[in-house]
Amino acid sequence: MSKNHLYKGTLSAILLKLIEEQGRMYGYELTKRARELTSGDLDITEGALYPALHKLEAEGLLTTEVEKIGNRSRKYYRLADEKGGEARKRIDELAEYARNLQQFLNPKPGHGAA
Amino acid sequence: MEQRELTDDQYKALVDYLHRWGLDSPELISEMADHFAEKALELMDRGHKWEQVLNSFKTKATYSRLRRLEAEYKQVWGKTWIRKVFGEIRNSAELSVLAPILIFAAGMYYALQISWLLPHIEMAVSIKALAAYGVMTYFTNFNRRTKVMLRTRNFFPLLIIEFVFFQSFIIKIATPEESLGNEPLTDGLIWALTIMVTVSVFLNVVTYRLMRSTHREAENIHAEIFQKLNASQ
Repeated sequence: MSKNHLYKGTLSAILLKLIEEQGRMYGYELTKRARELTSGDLDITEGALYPALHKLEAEGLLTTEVEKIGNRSRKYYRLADEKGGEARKRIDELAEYARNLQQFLNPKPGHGAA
Repeated sequence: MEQRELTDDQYKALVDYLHRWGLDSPELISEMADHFAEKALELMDRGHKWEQVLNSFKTKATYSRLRRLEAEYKQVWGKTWIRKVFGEIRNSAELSVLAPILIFAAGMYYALQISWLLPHIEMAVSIKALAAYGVMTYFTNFNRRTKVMLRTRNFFPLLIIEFVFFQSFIIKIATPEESLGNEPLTDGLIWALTIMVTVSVFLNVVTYRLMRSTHREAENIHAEIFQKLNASQ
């Protein structure tokens, strides 16, 4: 069963992280990579993926380049150099969120005890 | 055998499907055609036939998803257009400051009796700057009929600004000629020249900014035409 709802709210940061790792990625490649990494748990639909990508592009965090692949055009996304700091900040926030979540799942013994 | 690429007919059918099922923006159709083509090729690699794959896309869920996608796409880029409109308001605000400066400079030339020609040129420049301000304000506030209009209207004020820009050069060229033989270099003339150079710098900055934004617009329009051509292939 898809657990997409658990990833809601972190999708933009996940996309930024994936693109940062690969240098540049296109839409379908991002969905495939997300499926691979989560063993199918995260199935990003086009209805969620593209609005998130377009929003990041409009905010200036991503730049795009179009390449001709066979008989179609492919739009690649890459992190914008000038807003690299902002993208990095969002990825760091995601990491911090994951760490905090881990604290809820595996609280350190004695932490917060009187 | 594994199919590496959709045939032209298959790709056309895919584009037609996306268009009929709610997508309208050429750039989005092109991007989604690539997405669905990849999806189709993956399914075909698993042994599905093209017709089956295309039919599998025609669900109510996909229909509503594509419609929502189109609406969200327009919303996101609509917001960017609003930002551009505000950018133009800023440009026209600069012009509204520029025109009175030019009028003031023209008045000073006239009062100092530096030359007969310069105040008239300055006044012409001022009127054009004010006209440009009026045109830009009009297009910014009252003409939002279509996105195409929003794009093309950038070119018209640019033409006016270019006239202003070249006239500023004429002023710069005309000034030494006016002073040669007629008037000795006075403090007033040096002061007037300083004002003119300042005004010219202002004009150049405004023109540069507008040219830069117009160049970006031209790039967007070219990209859109390119996408449309691809979509119609």
